[in-house]
Amino acid sequence: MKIDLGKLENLARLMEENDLVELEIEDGETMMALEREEGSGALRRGGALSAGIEEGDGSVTVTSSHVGVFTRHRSAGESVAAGDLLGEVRVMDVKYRVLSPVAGVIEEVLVEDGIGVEYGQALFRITRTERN
Amino acid sequence: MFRKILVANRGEIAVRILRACRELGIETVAVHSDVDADAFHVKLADESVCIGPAAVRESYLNIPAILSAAKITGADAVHPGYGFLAENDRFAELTGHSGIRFIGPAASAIRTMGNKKEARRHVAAAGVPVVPGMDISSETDPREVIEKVGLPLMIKAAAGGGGKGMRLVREAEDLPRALSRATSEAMASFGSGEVYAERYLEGVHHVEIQVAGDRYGNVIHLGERDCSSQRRHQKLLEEAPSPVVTPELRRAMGQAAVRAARSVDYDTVGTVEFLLLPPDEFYFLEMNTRIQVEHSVTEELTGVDLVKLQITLAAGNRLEIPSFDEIPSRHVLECRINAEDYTKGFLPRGGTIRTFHLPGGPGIRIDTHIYAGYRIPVNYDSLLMKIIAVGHDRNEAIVRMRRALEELVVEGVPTTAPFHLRFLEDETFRQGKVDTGYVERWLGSIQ
Repeated sequence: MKIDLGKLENLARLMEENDLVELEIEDGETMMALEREEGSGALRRGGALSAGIEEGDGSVTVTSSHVGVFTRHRSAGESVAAGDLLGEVRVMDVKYRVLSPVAGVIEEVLVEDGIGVEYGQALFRITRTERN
Repeated sequence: MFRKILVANRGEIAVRILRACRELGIETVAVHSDVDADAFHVKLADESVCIGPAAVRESYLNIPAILSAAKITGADAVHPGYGFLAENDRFAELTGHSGIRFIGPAASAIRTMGNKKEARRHVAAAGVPVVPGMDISSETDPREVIEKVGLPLMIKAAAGGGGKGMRLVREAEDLPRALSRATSEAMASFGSGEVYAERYLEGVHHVEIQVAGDRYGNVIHLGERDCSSQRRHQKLLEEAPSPVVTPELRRAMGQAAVRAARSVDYDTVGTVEFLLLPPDEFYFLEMNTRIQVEHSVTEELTGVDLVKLQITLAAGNRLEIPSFDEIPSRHVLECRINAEDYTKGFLPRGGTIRTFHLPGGPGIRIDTHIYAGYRIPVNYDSLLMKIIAVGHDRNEAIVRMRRALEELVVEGVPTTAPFHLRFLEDETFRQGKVDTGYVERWLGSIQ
């Protein structure tokens, strides 16, 4: 496969500008998957961790930052650390990661695997194990 | 026909499109930002999807979010309304690539008409009159300029903007001096002495022609709207027929508009805007490749539901109506009621609608998205409603509009209704002699 460096550079810029962590592009027989280090631009700006709403009872509701199809990676009962991958939301051909905003135990997965979610929709309920 | 349409807009136009879908038996999806969760269009639709936060760039202009919303709801068409993405050729293209029908023209038509210079060149080649102009230099014979462009004329820098390098010429003898000054000023400001001369039009009316086309090459016009009552290029009041358009002129302008639309294989509803110098000199201004705010004026004049027509044309229906060279004998006025304080330079104001009463009775139509208790977000435009008044003649339409404006109650935010009540009494308006600069002169005179 021939790599077009100009194209690659454009894609990298696109990822940076849109806070994308992963990008898959298919063009006929060529498939390119790019992954960007979390903790670079996106985390510095606080864009990559998913939004969490404090519920008052010590639990946090993790919401979707995008409109798309949801895929679940973690299940109820599992312990997670802040920044752990909980699932992803696929917007057209772009996957956005849902990263846990807190450390805790997943109490409930609020959305079924493979269904469409809207911006701000509650995805997970997590009970904190530590204050951060 | 489509099974489910996603309406990629908000406010009164989203409501208007949802109503058309309801009448056609098509399911609907509303999209909204998080601050619009309680908006009327969201309540009216069969389904709704929140597409992002309040900022338009992240919601109503967010192409991936809107197309993703269409995908997850199974919509087979998207209606863009006006504003936002309605004239975004990339959105039209990407919608098509996603296997969803864009209810509007082909991306190529949006692109051509979206570039002012390109549009002008394009329609001129199709035989549509454009404002006379030519490139000039110190070598150009002044007599040729006067003959080709006419007087008065404006010399403009080709690379120009901001009034730099512009010179108004009223007398032929002033041309050489103005040209040399404009050239050196253009050189100093833009690094290029290239200038062109364009006819300077004063006392013009803004008259636009509603057009519609189908996929089979048929294009018709549905008469004109006079939108000369404007402030800073924002239309305030529209009417049809125009007080200065004769049946002969309507036919001529209608034919020119159809030629302009045909030149880009136009296959949906749209508007060709002209500057009209009474009695009968008219020039192409631009083409709006979408439904317009004031489409309702033409609907009330002709009885044609333009939004339903737009949807059925996108679904591949044929145009079944001929051009409106002759229009029904009635008169339609539309007042845009904005949440603005006209005594403070039309300052937009947010707030919550506390009490609210809509006028009614014969000849009154109201298109709005507001309701009692509705909180107007500050993030979007200030249009609250359109009041459309129909009468047997212009005078009856004015009388009905005045009555409706007096009946209207909106408490919680200032509106532009008091401006309209006052303007409707103006003698120049009554005589139908409002040109595009009149409202600003009038506002200056009453303060």
